[in-house]
Amino acid sequence: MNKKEALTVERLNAADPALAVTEEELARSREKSLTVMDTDVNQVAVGGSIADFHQQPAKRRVRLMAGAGLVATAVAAVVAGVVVTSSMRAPLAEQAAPAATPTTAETDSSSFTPLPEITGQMPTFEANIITGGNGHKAAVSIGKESDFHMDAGSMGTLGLNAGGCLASIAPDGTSEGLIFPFGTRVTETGVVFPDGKSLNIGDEFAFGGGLSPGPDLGVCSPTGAAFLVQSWDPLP
Amino acid sequence: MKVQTEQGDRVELARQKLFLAAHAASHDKVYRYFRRRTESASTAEDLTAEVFRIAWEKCLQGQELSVLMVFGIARNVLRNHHRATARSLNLVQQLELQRTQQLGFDDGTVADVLDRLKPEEREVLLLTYWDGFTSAEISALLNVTATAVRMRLHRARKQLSELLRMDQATEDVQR
Repeated sequence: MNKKEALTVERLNAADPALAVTEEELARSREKSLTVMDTDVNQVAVGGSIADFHQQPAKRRVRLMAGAGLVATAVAAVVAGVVVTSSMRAPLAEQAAPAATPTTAETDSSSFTPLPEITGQMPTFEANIITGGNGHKAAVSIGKESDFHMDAGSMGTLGLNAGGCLASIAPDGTSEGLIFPFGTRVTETGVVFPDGKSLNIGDEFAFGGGLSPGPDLGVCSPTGAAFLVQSWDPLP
Repeated sequence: MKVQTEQGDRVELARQKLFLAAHAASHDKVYRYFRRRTESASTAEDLTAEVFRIAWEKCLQGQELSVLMVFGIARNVLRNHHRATARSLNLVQQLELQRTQQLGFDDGTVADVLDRLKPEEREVLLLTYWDGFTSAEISALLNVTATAVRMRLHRARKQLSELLRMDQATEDVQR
């Protein structure tokens, strides 16, 4: 992204209508959007009354009534002299055991597990400069693929900068340094990525990755910064 | 039967927790998403409530919820809202509505220029810079490749920059 585009993005961000959103608005909307939990949406039917929604859900009453009915049946069976209690007690006790000792998390509906933290190995911007048989150079990452994928994009044309290093060449002749992924090889015509895909000098590309904080890549990045390539899908 | 009831309650509790987690993770983003794209706070509030009503239904059906899934619902709800609005408002009212929509701290130039972008490129641009989604997330949300997302974003940014510059040049000439 050049300076003009960066200024455009700043202007776009400043025009964000959501900048005017207040905490009161959010709180009101949060409350409203949570009221759905107070109703059993499966029970909503044409002609139903609102009052019904705030009563105990029908399904639970049915379950309780069914449970009471079965208990009554069991009692009647015992009274009738059918000896089934010895064979039923054990499994009932086994099944009831977990329910009798719910975990703290289960009993407290207001606390839920927080979303997982983002973890993983951050990408390294350190690179070696390798030289192909034809003398072309390329900066290649020294670290294997990291868990963390950056989301910036870099589009351009592969070419050689003034130092003979493979770089992104803009139409006006300026260049931006590239750090190719670990395992990239320099060939006679360009580079071959670790997955076997190749990119030749003169080819256009749209890489995914991120701009390095400015390692010293010598001739491969005379301006200081370089773009670490993390994805290199072909252009659509 | 008591056992079955307790198991049912545990499942219900787990669903509630899942829904609350999804709500906590996505509510504010969803509300702001609607606030940016609809005419008023009350509309944004109604549409947000509709999104979470649908999410709750899905949760009760045993479906997993995620931020992206909630946003998928939000996109559909917004599309339906626009269809309904187009049906109920005549053209004059719509134009008036567009004029009265206020953008952050901009004089309306950015809004005008955004309207001139291709819809698919504008959507990627706004999802990136206003809604804060990554290319990978937008790729999943729009069901296109991450490379296509990056291309659209690149073009949209470039186009927006050029249009804003042209607008500025026209204003300078008029003065």
